[in-house]
Amino acid sequence: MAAPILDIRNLSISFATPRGSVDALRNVSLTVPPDRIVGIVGESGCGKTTLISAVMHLLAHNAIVRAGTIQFEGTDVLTMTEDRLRDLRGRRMAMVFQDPMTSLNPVVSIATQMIDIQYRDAGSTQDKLQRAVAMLRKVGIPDPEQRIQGYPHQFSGGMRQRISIAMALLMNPALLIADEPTTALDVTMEAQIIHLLRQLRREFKGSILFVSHNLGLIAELCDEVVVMYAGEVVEQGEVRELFHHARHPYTRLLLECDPARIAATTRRLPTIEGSLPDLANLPGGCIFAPRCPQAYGPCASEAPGTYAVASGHTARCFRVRDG
Amino acid sequence: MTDREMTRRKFLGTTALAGAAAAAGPYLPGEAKAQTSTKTLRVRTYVTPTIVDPISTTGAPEADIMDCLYPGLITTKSGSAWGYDLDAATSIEQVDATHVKFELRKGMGWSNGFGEVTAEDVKYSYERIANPENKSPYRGDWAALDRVDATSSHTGVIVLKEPFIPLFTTTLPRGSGCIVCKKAVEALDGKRFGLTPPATFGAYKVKKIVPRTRFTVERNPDWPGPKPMFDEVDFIDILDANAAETAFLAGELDVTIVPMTAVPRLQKAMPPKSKLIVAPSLAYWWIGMQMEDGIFADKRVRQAVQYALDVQSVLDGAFFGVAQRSTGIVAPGMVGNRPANKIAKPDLDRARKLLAEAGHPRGFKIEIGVRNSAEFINAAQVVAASLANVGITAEVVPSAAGVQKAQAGDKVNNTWKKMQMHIVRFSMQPDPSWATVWFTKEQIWEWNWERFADPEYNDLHQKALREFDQKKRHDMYVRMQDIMEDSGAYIFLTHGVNPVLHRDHFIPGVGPDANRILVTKFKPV
Amino acid sequence: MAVIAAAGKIEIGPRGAGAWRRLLSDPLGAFGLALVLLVVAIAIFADLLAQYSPTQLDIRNRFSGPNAAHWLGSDHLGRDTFSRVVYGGRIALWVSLIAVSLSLSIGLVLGMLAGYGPRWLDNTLMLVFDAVRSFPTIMFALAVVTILGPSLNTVIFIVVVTTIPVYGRIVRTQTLSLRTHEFILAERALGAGPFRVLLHHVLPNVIGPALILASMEIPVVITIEAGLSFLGVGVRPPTPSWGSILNDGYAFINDTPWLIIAGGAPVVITTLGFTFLGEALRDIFDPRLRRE
Repeated sequence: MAAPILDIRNLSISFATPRGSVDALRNVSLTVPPDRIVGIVGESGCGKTTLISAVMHLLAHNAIVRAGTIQFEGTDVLTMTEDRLRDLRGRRMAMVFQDPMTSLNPVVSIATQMIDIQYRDAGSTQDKLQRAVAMLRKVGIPDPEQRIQGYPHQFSGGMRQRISIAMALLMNPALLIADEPTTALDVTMEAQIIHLLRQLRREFKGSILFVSHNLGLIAELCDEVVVMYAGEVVEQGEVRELFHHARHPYTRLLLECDPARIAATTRRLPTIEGSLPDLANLPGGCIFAPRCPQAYGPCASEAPGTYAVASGHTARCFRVRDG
Repeated sequence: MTDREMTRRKFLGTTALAGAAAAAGPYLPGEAKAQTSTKTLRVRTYVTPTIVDPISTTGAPEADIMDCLYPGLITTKSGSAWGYDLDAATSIEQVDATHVKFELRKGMGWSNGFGEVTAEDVKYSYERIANPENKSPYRGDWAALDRVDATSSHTGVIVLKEPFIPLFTTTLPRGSGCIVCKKAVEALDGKRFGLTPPATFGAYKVKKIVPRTRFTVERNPDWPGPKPMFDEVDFIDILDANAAETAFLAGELDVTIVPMTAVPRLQKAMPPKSKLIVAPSLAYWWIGMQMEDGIFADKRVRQAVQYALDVQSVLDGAFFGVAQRSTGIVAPGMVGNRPANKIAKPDLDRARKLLAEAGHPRGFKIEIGVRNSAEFINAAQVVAASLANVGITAEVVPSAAGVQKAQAGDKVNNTWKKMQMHIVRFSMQPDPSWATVWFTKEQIWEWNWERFADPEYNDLHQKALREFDQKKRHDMYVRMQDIMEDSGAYIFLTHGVNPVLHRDHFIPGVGPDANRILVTKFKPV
Repeated sequence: MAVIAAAGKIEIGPRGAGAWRRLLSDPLGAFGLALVLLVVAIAIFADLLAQYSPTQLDIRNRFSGPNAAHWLGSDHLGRDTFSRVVYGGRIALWVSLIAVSLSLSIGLVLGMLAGYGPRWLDNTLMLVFDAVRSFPTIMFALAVVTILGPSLNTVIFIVVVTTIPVYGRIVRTQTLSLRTHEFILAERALGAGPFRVLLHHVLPNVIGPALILASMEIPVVITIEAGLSFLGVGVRPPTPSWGSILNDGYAFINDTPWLIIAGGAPVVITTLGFTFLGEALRDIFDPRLRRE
């Protein structure tokens, strides 16, 4: 197996808050192999955003990295100088944000923004403009030569997200991080964007870290999936394997709650009972134990390790260990 | 609080009247406010009084205040002839060329319980100014003083090292002749004071001092001399001459010097119940060029300016033709008045030639420093226009009172080097030495802004102080002014006139040149 | 090549046209614009409009009332008042333009640094801004003039120093609210450094309000210049300035009223013009700036 593009090992991150230390990520490990799409799935507040902020090293000021490494193409992002990081961002790793309405500068034309992010490249403004136009065409903006002169507010949400993707891919990054890129869009738009990403994947050599709370999208797009809960990775594996043989109770509940998978018409949407634990004041034992319908003996007192389910498929649950 | 309300009410009243007067005629407000009582006399001071200590006073208005707060042996006579009246002395007598005997009135008691005014106070006051260690800017007034002998409590002899002609004209009747209380001054830190005298005794005593606003004195009932006309005198701070005229017209002042430019207009239409005295001034206006550093260090450049300037146009432009051209720093009628200027008319060709020789065929740029007041700024603007004829571009730099003096004395940052050309007016006393003293070498960090240093001039200045022969003395002063003109650093403009505008129910106490307002010498009509 | 030309062009689009229409339909705004254009035109074409040099003396013809030769009469030195007013306008606009653009640029830079930079820098700059603002302008001006001497440059310096905090503060506030915007984060994720972010992304967002503020600051600067010149600590005579014309008018108010009128009217007209225009622009582009 080729060396992974991204290799996160035992990452723990806390936030200093007036209430005390909030342990947002605990002992998170995951890898993104070359040319693969890895999905991260989990509820709001499970640490997805913290994780990708850490990868880009764009954490909030009050964040403290307690432990762990983030190896990007063999170098630890966490110990890199700001200059080196700036050099990586955009060029080797790029990001598409959740809300295309706010992720583009409203008062600067698309052309200017797209030329500007190529500032590290030699070449004339004309070359850069041509490349930007070509990229816009690739992401499906009609009439890009004209439209590139426009401002963000002159585009629809879906179009803007296409522009964001075009900007992210402009420099041919090795890793594209997509942070819920379709959440703010309606369903048809969402389908179009997913379609676009799949299509782009064929031309574009690189890995994608795709963050979503939508299992359907993950299943459709990703090769591997990482399930996160309250700052921990609870289960990970190949998409097909994991979806068909989910072992962690949380993953199972998530799958049950996915509206796309509910076959029968029902009056009540299934939900997961209880709420996320207080990250400032964590219970002992398994993090999911208080909500887990299958909790038993060791769950409340002891934290489970990571146990292999199948090749490349692991889960953090005593039930896996105990069969 | 009361004062402020009064002022505001006055102001409102005046404004309302002014509104009403707009239709009636230009002078109604002044007329309405003009008072004829002898209660308060309101006098304008054209320099803000800051020091009323004779040793370091800063201007003529302070001398006017000191005049009524301290006893002097003699005071200036009011009227059109120069002379003196006895003040605190019952007699004063020049025994010989170097001895002056005096006797003081008895029973004059210093305020604040400092005892009687004695000959010891006289000795202290005069020797204090004369003592070089005290670095008084007025030590020249007493330069010839050897000592004062107090022969008894109320009699004494002023002993001079050498004859000193200006003693009775400029030293004794002026600030340097004021007597201060030895006991009170000795008790002070640094043995000096500013605006608050520790002890006074004069025709008036201090009533109220509002710094930078007004200095009010009231009648001293114990004063043994002639009773002054007014119960109170308000010295009101109005630096700007135009503002002073407006204040007079609004009825807020009883007597003030007005700008020379107001004379033609006032003579054409006098405000009601007012009179104008236009007295020839002894003061002198001149253009000085700083000759030590910078462009005017080259004598040819200075001379070029002397030849280029059309003085008559300056007089017409800035003083509306009211003032005549002067021939030097000593006014007509005084010993030492020069008959004529050497360079009487502009000679542009000669000026251009000199400039070319000095390496400035196309002229140059300079700054003219003046006091921030209309007369100076206007004069400087006409000078600038006149110098433009030979290619010299001049910008006028007005500055607040005192700034130029501070610059001239700046040994730390040497800002005196920035002074190139300036238009200055110095006030004057009726002795030529009082003018020539400021251009001696010793004054270089004080008032000698041109940094003019000529050994012959200095020598003549000293000699003339003890020359009794009027003819010889006259020739000495003429020669000194010739030296000044020959140096190229000076262009004499005018002595100007002192137009004094006053209410018509009194005769103001002013000397022949109307430069000082002698508040104790006012008389009813 | 055509593409490049288009890329360089600043696209205003329908937004700009709408603004023009709104400005012209606001009677005060249109009036202000007309006054401003008038004053600017007079200043630009001063050489053509003035029949005399503003410093040319004619002492025998002082205090003439308005006539065919001197449209606004002549002053105490016989100079043509109209020519002085026209050239004075040039000085006033020149000073305000230079001063406002300097203080705007410096204010923008400092404001963005305060808003985007580290907390200590923000605190330091705010302290300095507050300290500068706490001086009354005229007192500060008089103190500075005593040190530097009166001149056009001193006037500009005074205005720049006292108005930097005005722009600095508003820009800082805007930057503070922008720095947490997602598009700033997006830019950083694409590799933009702090200076790139400030220059290409924050600046275009804060410059609009700052420009409107600047247009409203111009009349303030004009009155400061006139005020200082009136006090004799502004531009150096004989350079004409509305303030020094007013001062001459004051000195000779008993001789002629025309100098006061000639010096005062342009100040009033210009101040009104810029104020009306500035307020109209503010209402159109940035209602948030409206003062309560």
